[in-house]
Amino acid sequence: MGSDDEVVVVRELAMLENVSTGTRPWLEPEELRRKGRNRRLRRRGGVVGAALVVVVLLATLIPIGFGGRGNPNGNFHVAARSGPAIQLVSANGTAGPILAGTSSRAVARSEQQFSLSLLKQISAFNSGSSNIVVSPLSLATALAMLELGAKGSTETQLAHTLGTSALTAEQQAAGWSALSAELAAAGTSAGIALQSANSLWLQKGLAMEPTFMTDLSSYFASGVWQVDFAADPSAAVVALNAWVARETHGHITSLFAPGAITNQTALVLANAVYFKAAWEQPFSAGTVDDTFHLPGGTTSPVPFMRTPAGGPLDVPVSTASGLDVVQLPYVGGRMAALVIMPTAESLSTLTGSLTAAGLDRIVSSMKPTSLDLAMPTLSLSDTHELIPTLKTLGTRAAFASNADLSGLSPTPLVVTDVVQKATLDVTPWGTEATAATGIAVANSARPASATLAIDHPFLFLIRDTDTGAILFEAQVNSPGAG
Amino acid sequence: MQAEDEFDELYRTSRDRLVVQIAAITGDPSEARDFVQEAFIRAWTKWDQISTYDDPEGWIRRVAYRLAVGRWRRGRKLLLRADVHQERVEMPGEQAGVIEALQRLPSMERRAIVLHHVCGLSVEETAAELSAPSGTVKSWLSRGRARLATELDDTEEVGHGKR
Repeated sequence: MGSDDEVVVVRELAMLENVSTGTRPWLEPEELRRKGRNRRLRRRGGVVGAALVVVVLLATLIPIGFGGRGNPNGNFHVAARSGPAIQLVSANGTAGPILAGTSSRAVARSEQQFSLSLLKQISAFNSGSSNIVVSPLSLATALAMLELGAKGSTETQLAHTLGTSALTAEQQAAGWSALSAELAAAGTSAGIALQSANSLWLQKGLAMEPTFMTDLSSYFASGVWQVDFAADPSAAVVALNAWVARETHGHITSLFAPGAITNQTALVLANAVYFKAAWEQPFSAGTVDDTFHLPGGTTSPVPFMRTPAGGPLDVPVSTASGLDVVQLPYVGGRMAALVIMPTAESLSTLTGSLTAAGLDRIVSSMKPTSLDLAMPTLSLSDTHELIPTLKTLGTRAAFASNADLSGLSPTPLVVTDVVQKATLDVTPWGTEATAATGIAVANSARPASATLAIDHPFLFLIRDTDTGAILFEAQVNSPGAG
Repeated sequence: MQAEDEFDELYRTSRDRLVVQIAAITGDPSEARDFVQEAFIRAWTKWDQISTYDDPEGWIRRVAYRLAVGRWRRGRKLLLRADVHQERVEMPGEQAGVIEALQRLPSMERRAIVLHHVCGLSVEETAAELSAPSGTVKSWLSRGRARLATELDDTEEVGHGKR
């Protein structure tokens, strides 16, 4: 480059310094200062709140002379207290032992098929036309914890439902553990929040099998809490709900329906999953109301988010075979939302026929495309009583009076409730999704509790694009319905 | 009142050039304005400290710059979403042409050019900002200026062709 050219370039750049940036009004300085002042006040409030939490935690972590008195699992020490609940084992937050030759891949593949089967059955129970949000990962993790203590047909049916029958019990546990650890690590490296927590809530005085307790801790990093369902089931539920609320960042504050936990409840296995990630490629911040075509042929105005004025998205897209499909990556690129909108058939037909192999074909058919996209924002929440669904998926013995959960405890036990709550918020910023699953187990000497029975509808799957594991899935028929 | 007056004065006198500097990096003047406003809000939350700096404007520019570079990773919900408008900020045609030409440069060359020639950072400060050796930054600057000269020539020729 000649020196004349350089002078011209530097002069052009220097002229940028004093250019006016148009006529759109700036915020007044008073408004900026007001926003800054409010933020400073909020931050101070947060610091005070955090300090209080630290004080409370310190107070509850003071060692208490428990000594195993009244506790048949006498090797445990009190790690913390939460109201009437005593934490015997804190969640260690580490992955369990990885067996040689055990890969998270086989379990992830099973989880993918389980996810699609689960959605199909839930959709069938809901007449196929409602919105559904469920976390198959959360349910699968809770069932895998239960399977650790199941024997005989109770165990084989759970493995069949989860699609892991080909693996030994130890391989299954190690596989779920490895998958959970891999997803957590992937979330951390991508800079997104992906947290999964497990807990066991035990009736005071209930004898547990030591092997189960050891495996639960090492494979599922589960915390163990002692409560007194028999004396005060409501207080136990309050403590359990507080744990759920904490692990779901306040999105789910009550897991079990009133009456689901009784003085006959012996234990509860719980899992909570929290996912929060920004889109890798942003949408415009605002939304615009537009028409969504509902399943019955009517329409509804709902808020749509759109690609920014600055340019289209560069994302994998497929519009063949009667499906419009787009994969929207979250930051880091590994986790993504897969949006599938049938254009030639109903969403319930697609949900009823989609398999893991079919999903593979859909994913492999996508090509990088420059895309102007409009899709609805979502704010959905859902509750599932899952025993009927699990029965159709092959798990029956666990809910029958002859259930074999002898790997959990020498006391005869039966599963009386399986419940999940899930939320999904999709905004121009990204996605926040939470789920909590609880499995209530009671003494089987008493009868078990009665079980309680894109401008078109689309599926919304939050997937790990590497292992294929499906973290959350939503069937959206009416985005405005909430 | 003195602190408020100082802050308001800095905001009124520097915001336009800060937007241009950030837009030169991101290529999006509309978003640049939001990043600059957000940076000023953050500045006011600790103005007692920032007002004592030798170069408060430099601090605000760095915050806006970092917001722009890592916007989504840093959490867009913190930004002024309610104040984001869809229309693009208008700029005189000549300056818009320079900003467009900058977008065709490789990322590191563009950042080095903007930080050094538009924001006024020294080579050493630019190197620190980009976590690169000074020699590398000098190389980026030299290559970037040459590419930019070519890009601006091409832009002019296209413009003449249309006339």
